[in-house]
Amino acid sequence: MAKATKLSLGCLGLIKPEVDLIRTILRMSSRLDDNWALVESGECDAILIYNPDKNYEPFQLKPTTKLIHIKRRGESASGYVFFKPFRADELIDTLIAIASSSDEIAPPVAQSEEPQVTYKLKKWPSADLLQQDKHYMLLAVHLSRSAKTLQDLIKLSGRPEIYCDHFLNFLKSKDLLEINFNRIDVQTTSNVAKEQKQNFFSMLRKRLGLL
Amino acid sequence: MIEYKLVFTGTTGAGKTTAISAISETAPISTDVANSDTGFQKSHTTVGLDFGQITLANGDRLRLFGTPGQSRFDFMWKILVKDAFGLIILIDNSRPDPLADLDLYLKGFSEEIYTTPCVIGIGRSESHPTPSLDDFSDKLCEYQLTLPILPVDVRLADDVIMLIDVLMAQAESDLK
Amino acid sequence: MTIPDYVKNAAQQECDNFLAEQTGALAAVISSADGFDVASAVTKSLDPARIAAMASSIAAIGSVVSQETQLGISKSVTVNTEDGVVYIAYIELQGVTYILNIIANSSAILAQIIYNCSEIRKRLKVL
Repeated sequence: MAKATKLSLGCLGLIKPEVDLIRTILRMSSRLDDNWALVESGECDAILIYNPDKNYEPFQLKPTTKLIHIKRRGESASGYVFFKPFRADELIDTLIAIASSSDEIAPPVAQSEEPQVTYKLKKWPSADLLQQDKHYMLLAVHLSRSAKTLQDLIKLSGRPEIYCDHFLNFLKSKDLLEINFNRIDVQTTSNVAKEQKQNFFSMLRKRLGLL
Repeated sequence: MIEYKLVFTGTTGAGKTTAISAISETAPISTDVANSDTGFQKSHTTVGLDFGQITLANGDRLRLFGTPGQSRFDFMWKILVKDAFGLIILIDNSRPDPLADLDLYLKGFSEEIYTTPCVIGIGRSESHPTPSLDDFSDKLCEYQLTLPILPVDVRLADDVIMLIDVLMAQAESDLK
Repeated sequence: MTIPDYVKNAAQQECDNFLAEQTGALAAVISSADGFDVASAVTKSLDPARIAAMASSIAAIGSVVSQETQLGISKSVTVNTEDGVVYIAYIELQGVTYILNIIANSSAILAQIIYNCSEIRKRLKVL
């Protein structure tokens, strides 16, 4: 998934030692394959943001720019997130996921290679498999309801592809997944009802301090 | 104004009333009466329903209902679960046979449990680790069910909110 | 909350008498506030345990309604149906609250049921 030109990453609201740490991660990671460079201004492919105030100066956002929100571990979050205290592997996973999704020539692996493959949990995973990780638990929740594709999972959870894929592989290795190669889509909920419910949940999450 | 209903059920003493109190914005309405059943170490027990609510910024409401725990009140289970968007089953792991307790509610809510989002909260699992969460998972397999099973302390609002978060994720997952 | 046998026997006698004497009566059940039947007389296939639990729930809901609406202590709940009536009233045995539940068909007169229940309550209270 390497690109000919480097992808650019900006940092907003981070203190200097944190920016230095990010720079070191980008330089040292063999998995990133030198695909990412830290920039201090201008257009970015992704921006790491701590406490955003909608002002992205000195960076310029492209329509495809991905925002990676920095949160404290344990805080609820959706979309691309990097948790404090920082763990290099998590940032690397996220950047790889962004690199994959921003590659305009090659569509994401899951869409191109196995669009009809669905996964469903055979049994609720044991507590030690879920490692008290809220995101793992919510992914398991989605897989427990009905058969889902990797893309369904990414959309529902807001987690990066690599994260979801890793979780699926993990469950596969424990023989906890029922895998089906012929997905049948059934429209069961009207758009109005769906939107109404989603709005309600969104507001309820806010009210309960989950957002 | 939209109103959704959420139902807490489960064994006597598992904390249904406490869970509602932990998150309700108003003092819960409770139908607790003196307990005459010597099988439970509890002075009062719910015989009708518990009720609490959470109002959202736009006036929409989440109504929280708690059922009586004992199976002799199962007619109330049917009344309360009607049109609920989610069901939380609370099990007290310090009771003599928590797996049999789960059986009771899986059977009691058998008409809803396969379609309505449902999560199982296991209380007092730290002091009473047996049966394990995996044992509960195996029990669910007997019913061809895969439901989330979480250790909880319903005195903590965060734990109750986590259960609701899981129910919302289930409901969103069901939206197609 | 154990009831002495003589009180239990008196409660049972009241239920039997009510069923025998009240026109249209189908069931008379005395239950604890938490829904256990302590005395009952029923006709047909009515299950006293089930009636006791339902009466307990209805009475409790009646109590919170009166509390929420600041109408004082709830004394009874009446359910009027197409073919009859259910009358649920609080009574006392040895100073403890119990529930008297009457089920009757449409040949019964509600005022008569209420009067008879009031008499039962008075008799049982002084035991």
